[in-house]
Amino acid sequence: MFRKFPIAVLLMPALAALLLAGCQPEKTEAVRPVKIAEGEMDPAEWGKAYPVHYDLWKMTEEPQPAGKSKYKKGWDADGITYDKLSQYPYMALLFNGWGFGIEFNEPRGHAYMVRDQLKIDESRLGSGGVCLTCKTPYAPKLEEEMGVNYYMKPYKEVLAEVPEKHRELGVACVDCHDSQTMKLKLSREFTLGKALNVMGVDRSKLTTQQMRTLVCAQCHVTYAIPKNDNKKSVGLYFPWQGSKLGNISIENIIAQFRNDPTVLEWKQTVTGFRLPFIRHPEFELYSNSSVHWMAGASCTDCHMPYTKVGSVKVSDHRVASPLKSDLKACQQCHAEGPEWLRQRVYDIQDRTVSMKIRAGYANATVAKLFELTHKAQEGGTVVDQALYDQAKEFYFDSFFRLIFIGAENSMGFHNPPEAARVLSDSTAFATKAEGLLRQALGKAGVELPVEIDLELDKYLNDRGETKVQFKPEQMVEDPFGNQVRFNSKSLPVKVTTESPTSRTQQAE
Amino acid sequence: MGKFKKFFWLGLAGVVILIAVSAFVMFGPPKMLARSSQPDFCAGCHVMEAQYDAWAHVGAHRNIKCVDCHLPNQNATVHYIWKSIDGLKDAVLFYSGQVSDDIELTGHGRKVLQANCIRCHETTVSMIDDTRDCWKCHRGVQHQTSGTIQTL
Repeated sequence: MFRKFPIAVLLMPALAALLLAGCQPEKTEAVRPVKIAEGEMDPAEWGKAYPVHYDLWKMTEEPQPAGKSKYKKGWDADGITYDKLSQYPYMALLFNGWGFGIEFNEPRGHAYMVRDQLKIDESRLGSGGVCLTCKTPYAPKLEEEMGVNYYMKPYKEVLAEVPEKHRELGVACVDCHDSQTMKLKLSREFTLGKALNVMGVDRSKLTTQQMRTLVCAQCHVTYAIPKNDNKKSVGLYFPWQGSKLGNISIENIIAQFRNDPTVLEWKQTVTGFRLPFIRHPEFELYSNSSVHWMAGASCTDCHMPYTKVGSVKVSDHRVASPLKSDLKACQQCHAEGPEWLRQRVYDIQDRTVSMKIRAGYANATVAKLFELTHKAQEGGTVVDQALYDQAKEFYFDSFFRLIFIGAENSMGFHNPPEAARVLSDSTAFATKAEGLLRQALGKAGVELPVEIDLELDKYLNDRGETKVQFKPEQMVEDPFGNQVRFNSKSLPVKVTTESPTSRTQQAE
Repeated sequence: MGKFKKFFWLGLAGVVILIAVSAFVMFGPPKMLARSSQPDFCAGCHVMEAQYDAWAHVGAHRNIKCVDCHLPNQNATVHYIWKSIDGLKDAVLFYSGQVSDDIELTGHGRKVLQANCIRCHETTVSMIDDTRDCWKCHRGVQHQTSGTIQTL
């Protein structure tokens, strides 16, 4: 046989090897009897194909057990609505002048986004349809169809364009997923998509792990709303000019605010200054070389940890703080027990809140000094312009650093050293501004007391048309007890029946 | 009989003898094929002792062998081809003194390992991203961080 077919005999083992190599067990594919229609918005329809994820997502409607988080109690089973202006009274002074100074509550999260907007004081919706950008899954569609009218038209008019069935729908499947492949996909091309282009991010090179952060960064970021001459909203963008993915700094954000006079959204009553604003910059703070970011963790690793349901692992679509589920997410990497881990979070947050309160009252003091300065100027006093201008510049720096960390929803945890750096800079700029104003007023012969009266009662009570009142029991005190030494006269007194926490020390 | 035929038969005889000897070593009483699949064999070179000890102290994976994770297992041919390549490579590196103190996974080794994790845990990971290295989160299964190597 070999003489006749020498090549065939030699080829045979090779063929056998090839045949064997082809014999791999087939990959099992999950059976999906339901097909999701292209463009389907209804989560219930997606839920027919992905019931496990849908059920977990539905759970975001349920409140979380109370007492699991020290500083963030937005949607707990105790049913208390937390008023941020009562928690941090200096905010009532600083935000006086628009909706945020009237009613500013801890929200109830994804499932209630639109319902919370409909519930809150209407002054908060003054910017118009633009407020829906992160609240309804229909926003990209509305923006495309309506153009500039989407931003400009009154909030309720734009909301009425959403099909009635989904008018109160919050974050839905389509906000993060492609309906056919279930791959993560940005739905907010008109906001995050453009912002990534501004930073020169090569979208084709993004990994799934990066997408697990970026889908959240569609909304958990700060943004600027450009206004036209009639103060109507004409757009929305993320102020990331000059920044890089992984290093979006408050310095660059403030520089952009200085560059773009169209984003002066509101007028601060106390100082009379027109200012931009900062909202929930979770992504910016977290991605700025925080330790967990550098370790490769995505938002979803901690807020949607893998969880076993039956025989499969899924990412937990009941999005929440890891504190609420007893630090289960942390224990994927950290070997310690839940209470030890919780204390480490509290240690970071106690320090951050102390720095935040310090910076907050330092800013409030400067704002009040500007008010005094403006009153003196109205009375004919001539104030040194160079000192005034320098003070105003520093106040701009201090104010945005304060509200950057103030609006960020982790009380420093997402990036503790960066939060501390920004807040300490805020305090430094504010105290310098205070010094400059005192110098200017002293030069003009205006006498000032050691402690400027903040008149907080005026800003805390009878807010807006519904007369929102101060809730002294919700006030957050400096855990280290130092603030009272700066504002012994004007700090509101916390009314509480509970004993103070062990960490609270009384000032001497 | 021409010159070519003589060499051909001599050569063929050589090949047959080689195959017979190899078969004897691999499948006969020395049982080389089976033995070289045992963790003890892998730890035979002293450079692998730390990894062997780490494996011997971990939980569930104590029941599976080095080759279950570190060689491709989608079918026998690929498995044995890579077994000879990796085995020869290890032998060359070992006898030429090129093994570093910290033995690290190569790019190819990473792909093989990941595929083997998925091979057994396929259902579990069917609904999550399976492109991230499993052992980056499940660090206990890494020999380096199993908690045994550092204290040796």
